[in-house]
Amino acid sequence: MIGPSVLSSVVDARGRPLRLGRKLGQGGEGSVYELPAETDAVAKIYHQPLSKLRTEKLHAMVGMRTEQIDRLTAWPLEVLSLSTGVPIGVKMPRVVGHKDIHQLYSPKSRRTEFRRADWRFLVRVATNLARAFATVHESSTVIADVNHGGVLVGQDARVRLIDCDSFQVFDGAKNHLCEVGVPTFTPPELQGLLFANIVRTENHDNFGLAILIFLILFMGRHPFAGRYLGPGEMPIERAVRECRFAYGAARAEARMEQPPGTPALEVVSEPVALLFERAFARQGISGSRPTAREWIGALEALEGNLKQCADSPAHWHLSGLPDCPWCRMEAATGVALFSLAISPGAAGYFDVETFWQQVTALEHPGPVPALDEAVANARVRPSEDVLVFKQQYWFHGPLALFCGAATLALALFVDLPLPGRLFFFVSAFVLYFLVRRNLRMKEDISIFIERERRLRAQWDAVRAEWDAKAGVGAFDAKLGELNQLRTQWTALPEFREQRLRDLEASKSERQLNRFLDSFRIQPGEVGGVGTSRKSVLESFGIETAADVDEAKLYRVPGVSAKLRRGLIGWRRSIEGRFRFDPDLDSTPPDKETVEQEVLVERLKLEAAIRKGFTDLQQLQKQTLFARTSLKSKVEETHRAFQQCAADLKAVRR
Amino acid sequence: MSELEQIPFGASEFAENPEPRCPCLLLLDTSASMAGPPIDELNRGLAAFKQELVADTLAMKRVELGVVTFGPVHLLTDFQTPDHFMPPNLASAGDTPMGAAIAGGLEMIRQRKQAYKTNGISYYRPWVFLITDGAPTDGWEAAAEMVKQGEAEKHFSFFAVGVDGADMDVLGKISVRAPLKLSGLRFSDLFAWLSASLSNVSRSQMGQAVQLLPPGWAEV
Ligand SMILES: Nc1ncnc2c1ncn2[C@@H]1O[C@H](COP(=O)(O)OP(=O)(O)OP(=O)(O)O)[C@@H](O)[C@H]1O
Ligand SMILES: [Mg+2]
Repeated sequence: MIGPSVLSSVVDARGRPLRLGRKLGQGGEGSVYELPAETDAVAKIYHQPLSKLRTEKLHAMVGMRTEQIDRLTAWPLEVLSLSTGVPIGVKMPRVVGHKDIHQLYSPKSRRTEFRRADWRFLVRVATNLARAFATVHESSTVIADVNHGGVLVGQDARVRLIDCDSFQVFDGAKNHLCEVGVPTFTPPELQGLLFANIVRTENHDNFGLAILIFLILFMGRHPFAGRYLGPGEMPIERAVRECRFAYGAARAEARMEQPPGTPALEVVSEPVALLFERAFARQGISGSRPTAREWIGALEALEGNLKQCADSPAHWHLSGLPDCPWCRMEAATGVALFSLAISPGAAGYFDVETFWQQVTALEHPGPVPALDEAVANARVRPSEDVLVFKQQYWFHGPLALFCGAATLALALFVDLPLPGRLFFFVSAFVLYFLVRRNLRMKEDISIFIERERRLRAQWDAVRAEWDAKAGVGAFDAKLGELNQLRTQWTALPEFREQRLRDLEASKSERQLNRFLDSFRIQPGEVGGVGTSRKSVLESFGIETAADVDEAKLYRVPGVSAKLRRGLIGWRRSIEGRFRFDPDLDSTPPDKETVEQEVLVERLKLEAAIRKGFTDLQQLQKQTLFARTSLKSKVEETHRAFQQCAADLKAVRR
Repeated sequence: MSELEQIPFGASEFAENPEPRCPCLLLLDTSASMAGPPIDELNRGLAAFKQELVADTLAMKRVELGVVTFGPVHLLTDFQTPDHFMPPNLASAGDTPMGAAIAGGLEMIRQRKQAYKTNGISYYRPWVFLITDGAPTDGWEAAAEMVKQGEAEKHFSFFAVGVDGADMDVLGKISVRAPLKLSGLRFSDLFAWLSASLSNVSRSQMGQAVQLLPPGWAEV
C-alpha cells in the first residue's frame, strides 16, 4: 500500500514535484486527490505501483485525447510517478458539480441530491449516457468496466464518464485490455471469467449500458433482481448468467416475477421495452444487443412522447398509458419518488388509506402469552439439599420421641394415683411436642429462607421483564399514536377550511391593521414626537399607527402620560377614517400563508406517519424477539424458584 | 401491479431504496461486568460508527444494522439503514445470556433475507459481530452449532471479539474464525475499522469473499 510519506514525493510527467490536496474519493484501485495548484485537474494515486502494462496503456491514452472525448470523460492527461521514477498515478480533468449516478437513480437520494429531476430528466440522462457510450465506441474504445461508480451526472442532466483508466483502448497497433469488471453489469457470457486476457467488445458494453438505463428508468431497480419462484438462492450474478430478466415477456419461463410495486416494462414505450428485451435475451450473446445509437433514437422518441400527470406535476409518463405509473407506485408504497420541491402541493404521492394497508398488514404480536403456559406448575420434589440437611439433624425426631416415651412409661408403669398418672400421661405428649419444637428451633434453616427470598425476587423481576418486553403495551400505544396521526391527516381539509374561515372572520381586523400600518409616525405630526423620540419608539418596534398600543408604549422609557395620550389619540383619529370593505377579498399573500401552513402540516404528518410505521415495525420485531429469547430464562427462573419454595416447605415440616 | 395486489412489509423502504443490502448484526454484551469505562467506550464507538457510515453515500444505502444486546437479551433495533439507526445509550446489567442472543440474532438474519427475497432485493453475505467481555451464562452449545452450520452453508460470516476478561476459549468454540482480542478499550478503533470494512463490502461484488482490512485494534 502507498503510505503518506510516498504521497509527498509524487512528480508530474516532467519530473516536477506535485503537491496533493484533499482526498476527493477512493475506489478499489486508487484514491483521487485535489491539486492545490490546479483547480481543473485531479490526481489519481493507485494503491499499488503501476504494472508495465498499465503504464503503457496510460501513456497510449494520453496520446489519444480528442476534444470530443474530453468533453464526455475524465480522460488521462499525464502519467504521474514517484520521485524514484516508479509510475504511481495519473492526472485527469476534474469533474465538478456532478454526483454519482446512484444518487440519481435511487428515489431516496434523488429527492435530496437531484431536486429538479422528474422522469423527463431521467429519460434525458439515459439518452445522454447512450450518447457518451456512442462517442466512446466510435473512437474504437470499449468502456469494459461499466458500473455505477463510473458515471457522474450534473444537475443539467449531462453525464461524464470517470475511471477511464480502466477503459479498453486501441492505439492503432495494440489493444490495451481491462482487467476488472463488476458482475452486476457484466454480460452472461463473461460472468465468472477472469478478465485479464479477454478482449472486450462493444456488445459487452451494450449489456452494461442497458443495465444502467434500466436502473435510471426503473427507480433504481436492477433488471435481474426479482422474485425467484424456484428453489434455492438467485443472486443477481446467477440470474444474469441464466438470462432471467425479471420484467421480460419470458419471465414466467425463467420462473421470475417482478418485485412487488414495480411498474411494468411497457411504461417505457414499446420500442424501448423491445430494446431491453434484446439486450437481456440469450440471443444478445451473439452480438445483437442494441447499440448506444439505437438507444439514443428510442429514448429521444420516448422523451418526445411524455405527458404530465394531471394529479401530480412531478409525474411525467408515456402518454397513452391508462393511468400514471408513478402515482400508483407512490400510493402503493407511500414513498415520494421525486423531490417534493418539484410539486410541493401535489396529490398522489401519499395516500393515507393506501399506506394504511401496510399498517394493517403488519401482524399484531397478539396478546402476551400467559406465563402459566410457559411454566408448568409441576409438583416439585425437595432437592438433595433438603435430604442432606435432614440427615444432619437425624436424631432430633428420635430424641423427642424418647423423651415423650420415657414420660409415658412413668404414667404407665410407675404406681401412682390416678391424677398423677393422668398428669404424666398428658405431660408425655406435651413434652414430646415441646422438645421437638425446641430442637427444630435450633435447626438453622436460614439458608433455605434466604434462598427462597432471593429466587422469589428474581422470579418477580423476570415476570416484570416478560410483561414489559413480551407484552403489547408499547406496540398498542404506538399503534394508537399512528391512528391519531391518521385522523389528523384525514382531517387536513377541515383544518384548511377552518384556517380559511378564520382568515375570513378576521378580515375587517386585518383590513384595519393594514390601513393603520400605512400611517408612519412622522416627527412633528404627533405632539411631542421629534426625531430622537421617533427613533427610540422605532427601536421598540413602534413605527406606524398600527403599532401604537397602550401596553407597548408603557415599555418604552421616557414616554410621559401626555405623550401616550397624544399617540393614542392620533391612532383613534386614523381609525375613525377607516371604512371596512367586505368585497375586498382576503389578499393572496394571506391565503398563501394558509396554504403553506397546511402543506407544512401535511408534510409533517406524513413524515410522522412514516416514522411511526417504522417504529411500529421495530416494536413488533422486538416483542416477538423477546417472546422467544426470554422463554428459556423464564422457564429456568421459575423452575429454580419452585424448587426453593418446595425445599423451604420440606425443611419446615 | 393491480389495485388489489397485496403489499408486503417493508415495501416502502425497498421502493425508495432498492440498492443491494449488506446486513450487519451486532451482538453486544451489556452484562454487569461491562459497567463503567467499557460500556461508555462502547456507546461512544457506536455513535462514531453511525457518523462514519452516514458519511459514505453508498454505504448509507446498502449497509443495514441490527443490534441485539445481551444482559438481558434485547433486540435493540431490527435491520435498518444507518440513517435510521439511533446510537443507543447502553447501560450494563445482568448476566451474559450469549447463547440466547446468538440464536435470536441468527433468526433475525433468516427473516431479513426472506424480506429481501420477497421484495426482489439482492444482498451480500451478512456479517455477525459478537462483542463480549465474559463467558456465556446460558447454554451456548446449540448456538455454536448454529454458527458452524450457518458458516458452512455461507449464510453469514461470524466474527467474535473478546474484550479484556472474555473467555477466549469458549469464543473459539463458538466462532469458526479465530476470535480476536480487543486491545484495551479501543472500541472506537474497532468501529472505525468495521465501518471502513462495510464500506468496502458495499462497493465489492456480491458473492465474492471480501478482503478484510487489517484489524489494528486487535491484540496480536
Ligand atoms: N475526474 C474526477 N473528478 C472528480 N472526482 C473524481 C474524478 N475521478 C474520480 N473521482 C472521485 O473519486 C472516486 C474514486 O475514483 P475511481 O472510481 O476512478 O477510483 P477506482 O479506484 O478506479 O475505483 P474502482 O474500483 O471503482 O475502479 C470516485 O467515486 C469519485 O468520487
Ligand atoms: Mg477503476
